[in-house]
Amino acid sequence: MLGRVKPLLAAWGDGYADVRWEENRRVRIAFRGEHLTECKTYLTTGGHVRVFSGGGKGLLSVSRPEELPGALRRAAAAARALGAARSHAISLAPAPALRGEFPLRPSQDPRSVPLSDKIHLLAGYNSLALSIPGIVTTQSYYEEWSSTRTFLSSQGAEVSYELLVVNLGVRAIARKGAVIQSTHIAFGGSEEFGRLLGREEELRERVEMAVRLLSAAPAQAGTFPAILDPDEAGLFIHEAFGHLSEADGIQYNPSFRERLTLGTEISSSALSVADDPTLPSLPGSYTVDDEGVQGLRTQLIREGVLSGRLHSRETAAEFSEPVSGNMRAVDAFYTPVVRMSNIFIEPGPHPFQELLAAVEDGYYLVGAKGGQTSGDQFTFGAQWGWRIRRGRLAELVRDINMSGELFHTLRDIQMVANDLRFSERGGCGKGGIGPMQLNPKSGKGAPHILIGRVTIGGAG
Amino acid sequence: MREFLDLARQRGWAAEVYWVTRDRISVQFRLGQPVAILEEVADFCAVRVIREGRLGVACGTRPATELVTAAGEAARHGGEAGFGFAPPGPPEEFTPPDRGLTSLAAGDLIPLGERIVREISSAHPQAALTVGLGRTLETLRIANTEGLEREAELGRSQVLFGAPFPGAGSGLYKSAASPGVPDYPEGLVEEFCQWYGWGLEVARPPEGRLPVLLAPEAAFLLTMPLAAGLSGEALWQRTSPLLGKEGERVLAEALTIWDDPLRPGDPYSRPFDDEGIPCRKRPLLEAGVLKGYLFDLRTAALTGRAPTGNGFKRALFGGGPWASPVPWPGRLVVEPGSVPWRELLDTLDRGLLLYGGMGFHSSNYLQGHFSVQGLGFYVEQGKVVGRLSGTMVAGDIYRDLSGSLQLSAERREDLGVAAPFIRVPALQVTG
Repeated sequence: MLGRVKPLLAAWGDGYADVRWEENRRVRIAFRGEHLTECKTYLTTGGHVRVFSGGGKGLLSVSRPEELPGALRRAAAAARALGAARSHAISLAPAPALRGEFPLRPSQDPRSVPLSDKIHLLAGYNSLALSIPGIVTTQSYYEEWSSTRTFLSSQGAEVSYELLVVNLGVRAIARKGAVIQSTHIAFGGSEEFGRLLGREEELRERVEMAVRLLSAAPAQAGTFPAILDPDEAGLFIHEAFGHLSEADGIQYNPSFRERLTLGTEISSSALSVADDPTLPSLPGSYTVDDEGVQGLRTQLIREGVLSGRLHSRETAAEFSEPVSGNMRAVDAFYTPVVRMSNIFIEPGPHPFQELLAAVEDGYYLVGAKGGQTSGDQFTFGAQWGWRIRRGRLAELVRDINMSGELFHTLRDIQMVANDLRFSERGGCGKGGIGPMQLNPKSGKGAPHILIGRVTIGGAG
Repeated sequence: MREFLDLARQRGWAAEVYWVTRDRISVQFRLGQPVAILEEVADFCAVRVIREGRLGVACGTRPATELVTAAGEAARHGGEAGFGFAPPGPPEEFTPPDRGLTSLAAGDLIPLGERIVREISSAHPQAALTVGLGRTLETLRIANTEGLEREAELGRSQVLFGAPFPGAGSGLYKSAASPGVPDYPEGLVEEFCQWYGWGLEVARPPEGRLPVLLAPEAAFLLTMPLAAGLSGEALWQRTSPLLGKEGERVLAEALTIWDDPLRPGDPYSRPFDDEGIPCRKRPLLEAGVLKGYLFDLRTAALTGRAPTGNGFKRALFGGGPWASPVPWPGRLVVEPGSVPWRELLDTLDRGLLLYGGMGFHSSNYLQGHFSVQGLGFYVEQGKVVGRLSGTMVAGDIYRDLSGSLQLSAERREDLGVAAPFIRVPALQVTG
């Protein structure tokens, strides 16, 4: 497959070049209500070429292997044209030329499970959700994503590695008159098929919550103390802070770059945050990134002090910081960008009840429901919430989301609980230099955290 | 394509092949410097097979045999299709993209990017500018075992530029698309320079219900909940608030909204949907009265309606050749009003001008509700005071956009919708 490319790269004399070739397979099964609406297989091959030459950078994706030699030449020409228009050259930090094979060996490999078994498993969970009184429909899915990649570079790197993640999720939709509420649960988030099995009780509990929410009142808009559950706190740290720890996210924003100088006291001392692709069997676990660099644990915040950053070879050179192995692409049709692996808030000393007791009047937000950030501004939804009154959970609330400004919020994290939990559902969207990439290999975790003051957006 | 269909026929299956050949280039500038040229030359294929009434799908870049076999295997275990593939029909009249687009190279876009950088930097030297210029050419082919064969050449150029506000992460971005080679977007650059200046200071609006002027870029707060409610999927699942309301007034009388994928000169026009059904111009709302829903082949069959040419491989996130067709607007076009947008702004007292909203997707938008962090400005007595920061804006289109609205005479072409400025009497503002 790459026979014609290897000698080209070995003799490459025009700056730096690399090629990533992929064979990808995805399976998606979906139910809407009682109907099996999708049973789909994706089989793609493709290559991505990067050339750093003449001070510029050319990037090109192709779907056929015979196009790779031409792609290298075309990317080199683009790099030189770009370099001619630049005032200074783009450079790469040194990294060992990694060689080797890094296959995955799950104890129950989803790729070897028959399609009919996967459908049967999903159908069982879907039927269970539909059987709960008050549920009018469901959106249930099974998603399996695997990729076998080979990375070659003009500096002698030659690496083969595998990526694999499987997920099963159910969204249950309840309706009473004009009020519609839904809850969602996902299992899996690793290469292990076994994690999808025997989860009926957790599903039932989550689905019943959708029905309970029909009788709940919308959250009251205003500014309140808030406890975030591990799912919501993981989303917060991923979206609001994590993206700013990706060096390419601040590379071209001078004011943020200055505010995020390593050594800066960025948060309350209660907070420590790390990113770690080497943790086993989590959504964002991997061995090698997509520019042939080994994935490493990076301490991002240590007791409130900004202590590390996630890098590509290009950003590591520009920031004069160490490479971290976080350069990743969803598939061959995207250029890699700097991405978190498994980002998480390290556990603190407090039991959850101590956080609760510290709140006189506030909210407890449960279950991440999507979010969005723009630099220092963030907005996140929660699947449901509880009003907290005098240190106790009071009434259930629906349609709750929160927003705020990152730097104020980080300094306002008052307590961190001791119950670190990783979400089983990964995923992250990021654009960067190219189009938006939806990466299923992205993990997040946190314990419960208490924030002194966030804006709660309730019903309009 | 014939090879795929012949393979399916030999096995006694009905099949549909969707094939797109894509050629894309883009040049990216950051901080005034070009930083990368990205190119993509690729073929993607999606095969849908109906085998003994059951539907299976395979897609990718692999050879025909492998994809047809995978789709057939998926169909063996798949769900009941409940629909048939599109029938053949005469070819649609459609204007192919400007020839200049075909010969446009990435290097040709660099001078335009440099000019945008130069003009904005002269007004706002502190702006950390992002500029992206791109060109997309697509050849889309759809054929099926019913005898349908359709092909269209699609193409557009796109220009995007903007910058975060100094000291903040939130910023202001403007974009334009064209069916031909991109020109220097003079009006948009001037508007950017003025609006960016407005946003250099933060303003804190009062909390409560305030009037809001939605810029065309923020029209999605209206059109996305509406499109979700019009979707055949939500009708079939009986979760749409618009179920059974055809002919009733559901939004403000000022609102007339078309689905018009055939619009001449529109960079996003399409002659047929992603299932091969011809697109057509039709009203969705006329003076606030519900006139039509959106159906793909599957939801049309399930609800006993006719497909409307709205089966698109789209999603709120993650659409593309690999996605399954779902009911989606081809091209939403909101009829403009008669008031210059500046007049709508000048008469705004203690209100907001919104050009975006973060976190829309976590709202219960199918029901018409949205709750977003507002991107925009606080306005007092027609004068912009400063940009919003941490301000939540919430509303319900079926409540807040059903009364008296004012629409500007100007209309802008945005990716999702062509819309005027819309002045809403009141939305809930917090924070």
